[in-house]
Amino acid sequence: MRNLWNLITQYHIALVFFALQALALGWFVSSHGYPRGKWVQRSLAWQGAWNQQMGQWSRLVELDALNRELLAENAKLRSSMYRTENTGREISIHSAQVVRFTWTSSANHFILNQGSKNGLKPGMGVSQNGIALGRIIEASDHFSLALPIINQEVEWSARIGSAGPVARLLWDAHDIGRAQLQDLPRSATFSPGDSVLTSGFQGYFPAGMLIGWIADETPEFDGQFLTIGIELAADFRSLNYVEAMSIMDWESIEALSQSTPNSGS
Amino acid sequence: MNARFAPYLRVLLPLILQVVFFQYVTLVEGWWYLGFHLLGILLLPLQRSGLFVLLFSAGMGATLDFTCHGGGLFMSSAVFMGLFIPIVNRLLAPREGYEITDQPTISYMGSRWFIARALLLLFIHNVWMFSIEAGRWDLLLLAWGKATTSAVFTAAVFALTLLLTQRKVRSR
Repeated sequence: MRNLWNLITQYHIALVFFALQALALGWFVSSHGYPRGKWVQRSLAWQGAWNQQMGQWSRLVELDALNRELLAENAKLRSSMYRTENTGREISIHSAQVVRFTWTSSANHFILNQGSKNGLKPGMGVSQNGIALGRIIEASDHFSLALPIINQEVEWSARIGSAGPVARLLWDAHDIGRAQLQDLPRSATFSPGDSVLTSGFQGYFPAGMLIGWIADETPEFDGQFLTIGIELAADFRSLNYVEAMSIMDWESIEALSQSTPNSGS
Repeated sequence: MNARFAPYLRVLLPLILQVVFFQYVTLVEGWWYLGFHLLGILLLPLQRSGLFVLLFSAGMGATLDFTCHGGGLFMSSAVFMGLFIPIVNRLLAPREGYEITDQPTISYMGSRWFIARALLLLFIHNVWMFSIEAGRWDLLLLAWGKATTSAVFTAAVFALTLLLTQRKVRSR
């Protein structure tokens, strides 16, 4: 027993170091890319308010008010437009402003100045002028935390053109203007400049929203599938006013897919 | 200002500034990362035990993680740097050792000592932080590049901050 105690006192710094590292890395691994939970909501409430204050100091008030009105009007128009285009499927759109955005990390995120009290909730897609940007993963009363396409922890479902093949869209953390479309069948036909659109399969966005265009480069072939570069349409350096959208009947579609015999696979 | 509170303020002020201001600073596409809270850890008295430095660094990093959605990244990096602080202090110790009144600032230890210590410790911190944050082997070189440029930039900012805010006491 004494030997054990001597050992502990001799190496106490190393032991404390490993304990603290285990705590920090455990926290990091469990939350990286998907920071969720009660603390994030509290932190969002505080940080969102401060971020908004910071933003207000650097904004022209009159122009800002005008932008808000235009954005709200845009949201209404888009909402009715998507309802018509998507076979009657109802889409609710809320306008919001980005009060914080990180774009230099591999796990980027952004914070919106609207939260659950404004109708925003996790699972909603975020777009800007019809271009897909990311999705909300956490919402406090007045602020929401979202992950953009340029976060290497998340993947998106995308389609080449309106009727082309569907593939996985991922970001490799090298360039905020480019992403990769993976697992394309080798029979897929496409050309540089072709539009890459949302597939609508994940429920964050309706089908057909612009993500980017196929880059002018040779596709990589791994023996079975193709990987191609995408030039992203969104300018992540200058995000400001955005729209958060939810597909109203998506929950019933999800419930239906959960009830199938192979659900969960 | 009351001299009793000065050491606490010197350590906590950088953390407050990082949370309310410097976390928004993005320079040269992230190649110049500024972790201003690290100045608080670097300014801990030289006589503090290794255990205290570790625990203090953990607290500092965790506070930043809670307020900036770091998810443990800042805590892990601060603890990693905290482990090396006593080692670097011994490495850079004057031949006759540190005096009880010595403080890890430019005014007490001189600019060469401060910059060498800050560069070494910030490099260690940044390499750990950017490597974990990269999360993939193919991004490691990029991460180490950012770690190096950020360490140089941050050390320069720290030196400038101390030169502008501290009175000259004596140089060793």
